[in-house]
Amino acid sequence: MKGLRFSRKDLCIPYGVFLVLFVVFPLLLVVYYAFTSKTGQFTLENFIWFFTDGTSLKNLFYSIGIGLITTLFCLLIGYPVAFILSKIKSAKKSILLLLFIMPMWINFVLRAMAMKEILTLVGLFGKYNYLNTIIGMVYDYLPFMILPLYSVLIKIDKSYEEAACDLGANSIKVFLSVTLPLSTSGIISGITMVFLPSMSCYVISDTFSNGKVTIIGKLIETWFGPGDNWNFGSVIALIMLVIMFVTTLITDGLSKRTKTREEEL
Amino acid sequence: MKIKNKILSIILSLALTLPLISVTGCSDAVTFRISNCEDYIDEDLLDEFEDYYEEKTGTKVKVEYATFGTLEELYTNIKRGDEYDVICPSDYMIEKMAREGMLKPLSLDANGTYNTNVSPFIKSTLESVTWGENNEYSLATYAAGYMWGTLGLVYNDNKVSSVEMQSWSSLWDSKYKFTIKNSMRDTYFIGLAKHFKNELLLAKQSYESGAITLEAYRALLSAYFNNSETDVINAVEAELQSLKTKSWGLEVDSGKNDIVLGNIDIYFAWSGDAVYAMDEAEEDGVTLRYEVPEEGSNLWLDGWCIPATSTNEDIANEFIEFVSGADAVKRNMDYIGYVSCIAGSEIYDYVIDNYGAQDGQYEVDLGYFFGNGNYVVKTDTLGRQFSAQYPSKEVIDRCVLMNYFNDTANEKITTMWTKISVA
Repeated sequence: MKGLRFSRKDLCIPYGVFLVLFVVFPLLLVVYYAFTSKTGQFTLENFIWFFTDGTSLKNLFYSIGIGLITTLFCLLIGYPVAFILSKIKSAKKSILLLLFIMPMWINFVLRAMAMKEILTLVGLFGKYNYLNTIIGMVYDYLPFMILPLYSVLIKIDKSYEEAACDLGANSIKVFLSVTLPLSTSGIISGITMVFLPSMSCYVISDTFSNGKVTIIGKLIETWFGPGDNWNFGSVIALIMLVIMFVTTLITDGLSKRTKTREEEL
Repeated sequence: MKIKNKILSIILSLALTLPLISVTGCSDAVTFRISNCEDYIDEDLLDEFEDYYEEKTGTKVKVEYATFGTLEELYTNIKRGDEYDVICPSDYMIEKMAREGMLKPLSLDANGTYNTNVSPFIKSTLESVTWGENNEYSLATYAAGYMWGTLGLVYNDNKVSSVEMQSWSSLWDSKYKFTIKNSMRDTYFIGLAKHFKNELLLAKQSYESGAITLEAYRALLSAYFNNSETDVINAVEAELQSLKTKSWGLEVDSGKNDIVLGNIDIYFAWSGDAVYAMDEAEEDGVTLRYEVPEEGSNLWLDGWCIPATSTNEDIANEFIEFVSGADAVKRNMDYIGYVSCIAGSEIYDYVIDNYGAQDGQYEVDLGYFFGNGNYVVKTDTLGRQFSAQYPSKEVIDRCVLMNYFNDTANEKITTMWTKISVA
């Protein structure tokens, strides 16, 4: 049975295979379609179209805007929640945490429908389409912000905060110069988990805006569906990927900087 | 050793993907693959077909039933190599697929259940869409009609007057809450109806006064409702832009509940959804009505087709005959709520059972649908479920199919549609 012994590295192989089959290969297809015409010849026509037709670029900015606002609100609501949760010591903590995670156990289309009913009840639905879209997005992505924040906050060594207190800092000062900087990695992973999906998850915008707000994900669907132009659809998808890549690079840089600060501390 | 391990784990992880590949050969039954729209057949019929086929031919079949969300999905699946034995696309998609060589011409028995019972109206509609050098191909070459219907307006009788519903253009200055379709072709269609309003009404008038024949009138309708000239697309874009702003929302399936709940007063609907909404509202004591505006409207139909890659043409033919039988037709109509393309006296009796009234004050002649003979239905109410399912001849005369747009036209219309979506 000696031959069946695996080294630790070999354990990655199943994921490697998965990655190649379902991530790398489809990605290569997207790249292929983006740079070819309908007849299969190499062309940059589709990219020129994207940047000159006005519609796509405008929609990209709209979507980034919606993504940014959603992320901002998720952070503003999620941070205090994660902070308070991490400070609670009693047995209530696990129950409270459960309350925040529980919505994630329910299918999100169902949650969206329920939220739509509530918005109808209070009279917002059908009137303020952008507002409703943002409400829907925040409602849906909030747990994705809270969880990474919580898991970072709970790991911060209390002695840092105690030391700051002993040295005479008031609680605001302690938060701003100790807790907040130490939780940067949580903030960053929260942002990546909320910002990018909220630009493309068009089921939410369709449901909450009554089909009146279109985000970039919907645009891709239109070109792949009734538009029957996979090449142009792929261009939009590829440009989204580039944005994702740039965002990751930026956040990576940020987290490296905070890492060095942590080490300095 | 290490390399061996690596190879082994690659093999093992590839083995994990094995369930993705369908395994056949567990039994001696022939696999028969169907691809249909979601919720578009009484699924008990599929089991019954297995029994029926075995009894008739002695061959065992195993039905593999798959559904698709949109026609474009079906098109893509087949284009990329999915194999089915029978599929159920709509009018324009049948034409697109047939033109691209993706379908086999049908070879149904001229005296079989389908050909004996299909409505003459459906038959001539299928035959009316032709192509090829000598127009040798038509939808009838490739498709056996399944379900059909119209596009129209459902409205709340207490709030909206029926006079207002006589014209598509009244939506543009309506003071009521209404929805439009979040679907490119349907919404483009009413954009055309608004843009060509005067021309369409003039054509109708000429026909009614006897100046032009019915064929000429329908040819005109068809030309207006299939126009894809750049100027027209631009004009329609402006029209739809203001319609979107005025509308309460764009939907593809929440509308039928919104009209029942009273969130909206006018609902731009496919006739089957209209029937559903009217039924539901009735339970709450609300009267909804259905109207096909004067300018004319869209007639759509879905049909069974056999993909070029099918190796089970005989079974597919039997299946089409099977679902065209009166029992299957009635059960599917009950289950789906749409109207079958099949006529015949048993279906006529079914219509009478559902809508007939012995001393009803209205008489509707459904001869156009059921063929020669006395097919008059006496009924108490018009403009409701019955009219949505079986429109009068007068209404049906102003409904035409929307054909498929070629690549260039489709791209222009999609561009226009994305502009509206994004604004």
